[in-house]
Amino acid sequence: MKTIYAFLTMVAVASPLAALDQGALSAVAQKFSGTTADEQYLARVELNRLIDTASTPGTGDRAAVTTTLLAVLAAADTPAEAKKYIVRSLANTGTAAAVPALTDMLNGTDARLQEEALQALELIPGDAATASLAAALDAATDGRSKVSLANALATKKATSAIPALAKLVSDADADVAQAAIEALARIGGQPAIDALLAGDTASSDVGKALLIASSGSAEVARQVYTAATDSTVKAAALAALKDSALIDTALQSDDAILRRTALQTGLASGQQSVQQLVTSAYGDLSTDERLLVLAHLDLVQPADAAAQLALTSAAAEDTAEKAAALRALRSADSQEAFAATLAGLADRDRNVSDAASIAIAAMPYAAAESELVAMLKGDNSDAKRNAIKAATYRKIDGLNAILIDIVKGSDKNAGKDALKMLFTTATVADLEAIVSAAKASTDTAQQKMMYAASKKIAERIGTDAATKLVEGL
Amino acid sequence: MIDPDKSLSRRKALKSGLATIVAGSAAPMVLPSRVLGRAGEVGPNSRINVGIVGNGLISKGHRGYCVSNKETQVVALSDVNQAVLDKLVPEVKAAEGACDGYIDYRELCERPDIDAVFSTTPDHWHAAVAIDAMRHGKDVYVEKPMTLTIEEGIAMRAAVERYGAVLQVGSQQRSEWQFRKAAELVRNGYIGEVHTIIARLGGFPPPTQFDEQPVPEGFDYDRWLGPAPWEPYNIERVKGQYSGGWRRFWEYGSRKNGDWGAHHFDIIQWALGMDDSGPDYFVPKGYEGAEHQMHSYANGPKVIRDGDSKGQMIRFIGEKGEVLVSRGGKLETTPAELKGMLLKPNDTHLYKSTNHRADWLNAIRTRKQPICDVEVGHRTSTICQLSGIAERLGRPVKWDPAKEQVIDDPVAARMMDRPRRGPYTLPV
Repeated sequence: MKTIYAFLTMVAVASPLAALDQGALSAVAQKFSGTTADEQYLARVELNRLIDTASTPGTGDRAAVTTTLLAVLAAADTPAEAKKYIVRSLANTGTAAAVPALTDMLNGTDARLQEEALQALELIPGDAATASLAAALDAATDGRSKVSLANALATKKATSAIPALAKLVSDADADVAQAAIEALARIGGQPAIDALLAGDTASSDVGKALLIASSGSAEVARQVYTAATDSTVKAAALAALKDSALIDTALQSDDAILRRTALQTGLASGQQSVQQLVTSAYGDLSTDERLLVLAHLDLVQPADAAAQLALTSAAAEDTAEKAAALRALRSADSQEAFAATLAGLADRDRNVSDAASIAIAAMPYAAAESELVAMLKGDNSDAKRNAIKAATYRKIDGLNAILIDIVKGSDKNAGKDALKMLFTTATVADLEAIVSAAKASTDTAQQKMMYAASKKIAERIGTDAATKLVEGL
Repeated sequence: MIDPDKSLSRRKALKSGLATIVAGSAAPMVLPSRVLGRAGEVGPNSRINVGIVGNGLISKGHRGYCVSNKETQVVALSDVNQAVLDKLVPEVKAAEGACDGYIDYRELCERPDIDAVFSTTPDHWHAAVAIDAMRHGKDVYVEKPMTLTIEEGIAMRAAVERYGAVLQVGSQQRSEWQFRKAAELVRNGYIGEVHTIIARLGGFPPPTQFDEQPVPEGFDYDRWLGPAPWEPYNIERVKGQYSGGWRRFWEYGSRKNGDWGAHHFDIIQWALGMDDSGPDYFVPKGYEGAEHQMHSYANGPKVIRDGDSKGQMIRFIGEKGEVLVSRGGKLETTPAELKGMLLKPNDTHLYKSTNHRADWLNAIRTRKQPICDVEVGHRTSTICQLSGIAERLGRPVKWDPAKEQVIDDPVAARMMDRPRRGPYTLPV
């Protein structure tokens, strides 16, 4: 292993830019024969380095590299293992000049080299490589080969292979049929569409393939929508069509996927009937449908109607709905929205309180701070404690002084919450005030709590001044 | 032609249930509210049926979470290793009441009763499993890095849009408070213009060759390899191990760039506000004496791999300060008061998630994309892959993040994808 690391370092630092020398390549190829696994790995690294260096844009010559690789491939004494890696290199580096040799391998008897050759032809651009693969597809007799070749031709967007692929769309082997259908989808264009339309358009695979091949053309999408029996396909076709009549019909369907898509598509396109349904009958929607609306609230018009929907859902029983509504209120600017988020902050459900914290932090509601101060100074304990939580997310001027007053006050629970906040925010001056208040306190339990908190605060601040303040407490 | 001994398993053709479509005549302008809110449809608190594909190391946490979560029910597992299924299916069945096992993940994805799928295989299978799940109407949680190749990422993005799926990428650091806080501090300019970011990734052992071993009984090695090039079996090649195993091989992952890189580059993207874009230049370690791997953004920031991160996982260096952040709640700032500082209402408040899996489940219900959606995952994976391409070629790679194209390097451009060994193609 140390040898490998040393070699890698040497190769990385010292490789010169040079043409691919056939002798050097042959010598490396020989290292794949009768050697250990470690030696083979090093040979592989050296092989790749030689080829990549000689292929460097601007200084390398891929045509020359291809010629050299082919020469070594053809040599009788090149080990089989080396041939495998050379063919793999041709996939990335090779030019059309490699096609004849690769075609011979594709049609040969060595199964592993056939695989490698096919993959190389898949990536080498040009008509010759495509023709080689298409010819192989015509001649193929086993399912695995047909699938591989269909896939490779799809990668090349080989329109010339469409007739051969069309014949396989209804193949008895389901995997071959699937591969042919998907290949036509990837190739796309009218001839591919025609080939698919000649197949079973009710089949979900053909339906999906048609939508892909046609890049969502409305005409094709309509045919797919009409013929499809699979919800996913039908929904995809509906989304592509954006037909308001079909959307309205789909909304009457028992199919949840279809209805969901119809609702989403209708909202996105501003369809009046969908807008009206959502705003006038929001309470009659199912929870999942309200969640969908909340996810797309920015599409609901007008904006104050949308805000009203969020406020409605902020009072929902379902915690996911409540949380979604609170998240939507993050851009709201009303007392009602602020009150809803404060209520959410006190919710036991983590999802809800998190959503509320996001909303409180981001809300542009100008009166937020003054309302929180009023709650902090008020007599309602629950409101006070919630306001302390909210103060974690909003900057309130003079907050520490207000919190210290709460600590000194008679509301012990609020006092504890205030101290927790002061753990992280108190300055030395605040610490001095807390210690002073603790010393003046006649409530033993309260005093003990304040002393303990003071020591923790001093430790967090970490200065001599802070440490001095709590000495002897 | 090609090794006909490896016959394909014939998939069962399952047709999804058909809901009767009411053929309406003229569309009413106002729809009666009763058309929605059906009695008897899936209720708000019904459980999400989950299938898990790939039951190795990382899946354990997901499986445990879903089994113990009242919102979910694990109903199926898929793995290429029968021994894994023999062990885990009875365990899940005992906890959930029912569970099926499949060698071929496609059978799991075709089940109409499954709502959501975890794609927790090695990286080279992530995209195929995820897309197959989505094309069957499932929502997906796919582990990071989202894909092995850039083209796979583009295909995944298309699939999410086409099938309306909710997809979460397992970059769970975004659901940890300190990473969000760090990103918010950077994003809102609290340390000034960021010029350098250091990410600690570490390294793997080299992707060496191994002597061939017999394939264990019940392990479908051909399927484990899937689209990756054929290599002789050795346990070292396939084992799941955080310090190496399959992760050390280019054929199945992007090595450390795809391992820790997928986490840290993701946070860096988030902090820089680059989730719909990315860096444009990648330099491998050792190129013209470069001490560290580096990638840089067009607007200035450089990301250095394994430089001096002062012991933290990510170190952001700005003109006015620094933010250092790691897992385990570690956050340090210069100046120190930045750490406890509250954002102002008009600051950018980043998406808050406190539990990555819960965030995904919530997204499934709300149909709003979760914190690490397909675009986020794709852009981060792209960085992992381009870093790897530069490393393998031993030269810099220039990238156009807007067009998503390699610039002036045809060899590197071809490496945006890899050929797939048949019959393991990428579904659409």
